[in-house]
Amino acid sequence: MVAVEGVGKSFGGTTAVTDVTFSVPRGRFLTILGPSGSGKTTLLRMIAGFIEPSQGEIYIHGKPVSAVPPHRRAIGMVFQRLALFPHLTAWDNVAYPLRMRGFDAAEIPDRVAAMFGIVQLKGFEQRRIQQLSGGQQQRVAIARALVFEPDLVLLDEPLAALDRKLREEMQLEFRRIQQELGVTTINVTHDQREALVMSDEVMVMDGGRVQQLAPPAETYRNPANAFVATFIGVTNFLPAHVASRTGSALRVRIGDLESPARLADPQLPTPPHGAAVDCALRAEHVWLRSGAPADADCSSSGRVMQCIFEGDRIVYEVAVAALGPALIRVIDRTPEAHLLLAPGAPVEVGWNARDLIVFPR
Amino acid sequence: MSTVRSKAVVLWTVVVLNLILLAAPTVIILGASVTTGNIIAFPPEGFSLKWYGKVFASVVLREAFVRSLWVSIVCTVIAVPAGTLAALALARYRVRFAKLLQLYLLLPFTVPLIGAGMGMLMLFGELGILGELWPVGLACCVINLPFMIWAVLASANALDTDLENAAANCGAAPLQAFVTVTLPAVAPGIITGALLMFVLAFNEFLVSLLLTDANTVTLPVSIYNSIRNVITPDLAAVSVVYILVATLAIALLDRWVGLEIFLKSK
Repeated sequence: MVAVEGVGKSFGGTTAVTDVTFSVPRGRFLTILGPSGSGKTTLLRMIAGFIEPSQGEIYIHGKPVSAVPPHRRAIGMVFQRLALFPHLTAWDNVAYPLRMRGFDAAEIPDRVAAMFGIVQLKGFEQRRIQQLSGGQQQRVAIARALVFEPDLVLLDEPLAALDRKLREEMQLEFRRIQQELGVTTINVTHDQREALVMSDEVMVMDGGRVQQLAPPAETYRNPANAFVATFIGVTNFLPAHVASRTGSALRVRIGDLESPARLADPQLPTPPHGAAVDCALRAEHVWLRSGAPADADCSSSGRVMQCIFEGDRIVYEVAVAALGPALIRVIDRTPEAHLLLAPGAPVEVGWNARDLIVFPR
Repeated sequence: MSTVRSKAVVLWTVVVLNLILLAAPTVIILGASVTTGNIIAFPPEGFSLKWYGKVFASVVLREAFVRSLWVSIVCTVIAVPAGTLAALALARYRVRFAKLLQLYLLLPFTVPLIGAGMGMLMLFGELGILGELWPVGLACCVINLPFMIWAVLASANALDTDLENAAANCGAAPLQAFVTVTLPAVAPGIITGALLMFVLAFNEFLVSLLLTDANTVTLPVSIYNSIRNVITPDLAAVSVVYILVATLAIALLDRWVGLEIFLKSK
């Protein structure tokens, strides 16, 4: 459906996107996830045709589109600040693409009406854009992007401006519409939760390069590198050295502790004995017990420094003497099962070998 | 409680004084125009509309009024495309030397009107168009163009930077996008600017004084010429006509665009 091959873009002297290659099959939902400045929006705008790639080629339906201006690419797009036409009503905004694309005037009303049904905005057709709430404007923008039944829809962080509850609602809402219409979608966001919730595949970008392209669960469970591990989820990073390796079993030394661990990418050669590595340990994979030693592959004792109650979870920052001065972040997802541990409380922390992920430097 | 009260008293005093100061000229001229006496006076002696009758009967004033109308139309017709395109270029497209250009477009504000008038007097003299009416409209357009640009800029700057991209994404070719999206989206600014230009040209005095002669005298210049002889109440009546034109412009603005555009601090 869409194939991006070796695409790069530099503005003047700065490189925004470097050698990006990926493809999205028909009907799939890909999210490009990355911090601001990672090149994700530049990439999306190149697909839309607003920016020309410096290198590489983009194919839509197998045809190169470099020479095709944006208004001739049959792509729907929801813009970051929506870019609805302020002088038109909601109805005319949604009808606009049909008029511009030369649809038969007789079938326009039916299509527009059907779209208002799909985005559940019936009764608001004649409102002016300024008279609609943020969520309603969002729905108009989605309707405008989908009304001419494009094969491909691009989302440029349209949900970022909404408050959290509405954002989460719209994520599911868009996913429902996307699956209902079976439209191929590329979404850009810096919100890891949104990426995990909405997508079939997640492409993590940083510094203009692709860091990992995998299904959401895969990027979460098996981050390809240290950047992906930090960007998705709350992760502790521990500098370590390889203590021993026998076959696939790997042991690392972190501070005064020795722990079994696993290599992030089993395809890669195991780093040699004594090599400096980084270990990622997700905050929700750390066991926390007061009193009894943790039932885990490796454990040590520490002291609670801070306790943040977030309702559905508790985030602790724990000082573990054996691991050095850095605080270990721990997320307890079953706060009702445990007591709140006050700062200063002695605790046992532990983890399993499969959760301590080793990245060679 | 008492400090709150005294604060309110002070504030209201200031507000009322301001309102009186702002309204005073209008009220005085309104009053003076309906006097029955033969000299301009406030408060008026009695009430009559005879001076309005005299104004409307006066061929000199009527001709001057029509000329002023013509000058305003010429000014507006030139200012709308010139100011709109300049403002859109500055706001929506990346223009080389944009800062410098912006300064240049504000130049008419920094040059004293008398200087601008002299310059145009010499230029129009050289071109041999002095003594015609339309150059007066052109001159009014030149000296007031920043108002037009500002009005459209205010509208254009409030637009989403992706608006034209959105139009393109919807299948509109560049020119189509400009006509169906960009222009209508800044229409409030264009209407505001146009009415502003019209009223400013209608009122313009100093430059017109320099550029007009006995055959092309505009209404403000005509009034000025009359004041130099005897100040009679018919001049007050003419002034009221002026106030009515301005009020009409504001009423139209409110109807077409809404006055919020001026009240908003954006």
